[in-house]
Amino acid sequence: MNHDVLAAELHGLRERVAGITDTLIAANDGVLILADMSEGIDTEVISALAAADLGIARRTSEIAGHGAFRQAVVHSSGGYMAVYAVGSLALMVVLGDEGLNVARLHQESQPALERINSILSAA
Amino acid sequence: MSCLKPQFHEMRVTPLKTGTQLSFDLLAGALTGRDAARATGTLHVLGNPGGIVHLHDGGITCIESAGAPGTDALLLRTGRLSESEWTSALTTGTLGTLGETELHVVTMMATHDAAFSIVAGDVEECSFTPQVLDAPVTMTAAIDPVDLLQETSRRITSLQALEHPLCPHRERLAAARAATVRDLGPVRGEIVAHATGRRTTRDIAFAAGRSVYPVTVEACRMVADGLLTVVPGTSAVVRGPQPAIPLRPRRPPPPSPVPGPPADDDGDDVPLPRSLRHQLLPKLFKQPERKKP
Repeated sequence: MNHDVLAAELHGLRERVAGITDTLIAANDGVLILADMSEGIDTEVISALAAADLGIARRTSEIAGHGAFRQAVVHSSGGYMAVYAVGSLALMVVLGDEGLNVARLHQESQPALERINSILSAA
Repeated sequence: MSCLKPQFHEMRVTPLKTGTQLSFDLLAGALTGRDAARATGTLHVLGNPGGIVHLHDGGITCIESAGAPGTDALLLRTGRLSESEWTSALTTGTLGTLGETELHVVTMMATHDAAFSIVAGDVEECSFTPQVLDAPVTMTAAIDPVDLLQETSRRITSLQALEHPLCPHRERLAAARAATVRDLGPVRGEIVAHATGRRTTRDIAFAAGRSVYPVTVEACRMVADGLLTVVPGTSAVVRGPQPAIPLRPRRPPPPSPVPGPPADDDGDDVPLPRSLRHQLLPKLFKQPERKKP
């Protein structure tokens, strides 16, 4: 796995979408793989919470019969947390401030997720 | 493209002029064009940060952009309004301690700032739809598009005239070693406090609950004064363990050499050894044991 390429993907996403403050990639069980995060944010805690969030969100869309899971978004008065599935084995967390354009984030994140998935599964 | 990519050395400052002119022309063309003239509806500005212009009878009632704090962010981040006051203002229309004129002025500031932020970024396309979208707050008196464009043009020109013009969406700033928050005024101190090396002037404006334009202008002056430095482009702070083994799906278990005998209990899938099932299950669930023929 090439960590530099992975870091470049996270950095590129932050450059392309205004409002992204932090990003992180973790395995589905919440074990951190790579974080591009500000000091003062506990990356381990965010990874673990995101894994739980993803599990609940996936199950919810299944039970509600809403089809394939896409993303889980937590919208607070001061910002956003979006959790995306990276293939079937990992997840990506995007934190943003209240200005984040979520529609643009979804649009820009799809090709990035595909590339991140292929980097993670490459030998 | 309004903001050229920053080079990888310190204190490189992006020339704003060429691309910003293109962004301005696209927005100006859309706002003064035939579609938007005396129209009611929404102008979608696609790009980074892009935005949404709410129009009523050709006048601008509000502009929202990911590139500039909106009315809510300006009021909440500065503590001018509490969360509960804002929520009740949205649901019941009562403004609490905030006057209607003050709300109008803050929304006007946010609208001008959003227009500046859109033009300082990349505009890909503008499209008008007659559909009226909900805006959190609109101004009581609409702004004439020509007035807004003149003000935006003035701001961009003023920024370009500075010694070290910064792009609010590209250059990330860090406090120089010489800068200490205590010795600076409130605005400069706040900018230094929020300049972590990961934030652009747009991000600093959001963190401080201030408008992007004044923060950007002040940050440009602070770069010139040696209080802030521009961080090179690839500044991703990468943390985390570095596993040597790539993620792969778990391997399927090897097929068992002798397939087990077919189940004799009607497909009962309780994960217990078969020898125990007939002993335990009737006791646990008080089920009558099935008689075998």
